[in-house]
Amino acid sequence: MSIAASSPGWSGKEQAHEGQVPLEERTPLAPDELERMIAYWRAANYLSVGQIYLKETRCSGGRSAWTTSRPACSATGAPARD
Amino acid sequence: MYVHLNRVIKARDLDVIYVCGPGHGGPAMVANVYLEGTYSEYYNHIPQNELGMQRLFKQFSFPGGIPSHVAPETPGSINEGGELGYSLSHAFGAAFDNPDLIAVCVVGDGEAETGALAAGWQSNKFLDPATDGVVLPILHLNGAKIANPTVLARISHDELTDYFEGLGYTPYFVEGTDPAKVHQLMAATMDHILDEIARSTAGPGRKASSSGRAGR
Repeated sequence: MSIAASSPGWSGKEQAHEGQVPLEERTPLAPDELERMIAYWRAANYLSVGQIYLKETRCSGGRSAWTTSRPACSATGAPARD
Repeated sequence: MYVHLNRVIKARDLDVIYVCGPGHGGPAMVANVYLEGTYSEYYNHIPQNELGMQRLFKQFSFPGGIPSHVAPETPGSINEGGELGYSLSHAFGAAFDNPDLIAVCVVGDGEAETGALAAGWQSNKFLDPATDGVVLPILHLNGAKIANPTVLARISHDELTDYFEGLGYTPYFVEGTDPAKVHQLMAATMDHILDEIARSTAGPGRKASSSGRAGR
């Protein structure tokens, strides 16, 4: 996943509104809600990537899950050559 | 995206359909419906435990398993789509004559380079604010398509803004490197856009149905 480092946050033209808190300074998520959403997001990411790369899961065991990765698949679903 | 949409659906009691555009984006939807428990309800042999996860992982893009897109096997899926590039057209089709619906369409930036998708943005001209629902496209600007950089990720934010404003949209950018900040920004942006939608669709004199777009 590549994420741009610089963030204008939101459309510059929208920022002209007087008296409004810029979107990037708002915190609509309470701390516990934010924590749970991040946990959900991490779990969903693991499950997504796991489907693509893992032959089996060892998330609850001692071995690193990444040692059981399967060959990366190309866009067609065929095993990659390398 | 899925969990953020669930947050606003629950908070605002919205009628939302999620259109999943990115090519080979199936695992994301499968992961979400597995995580929330729906997948195991449909498929008893894939329970929410280690054995279930192992089977879930193995079946993906595997003989006898499931495809890499949101196929009919995915719980909740109502239309396979068939080919890359038609997600936005499907979203507009869902919103036509469906005034209470918000069709949220996640568009992959590789998908956005197909002719069908590139033309699909123009369907906002056919949206009648009086009788149709709302289309909220979310461009997932991750910068890569299979093995190449994407065109839309190669241009500046100003140029992107001008492009989408020219198409009749109000673009918002949600991006960053700190997950906590990005989650707050995504939530704030969704709240802001849904407030705008609620304002523009309230009452019989509503207008400007097609709304903003978040990219990252």
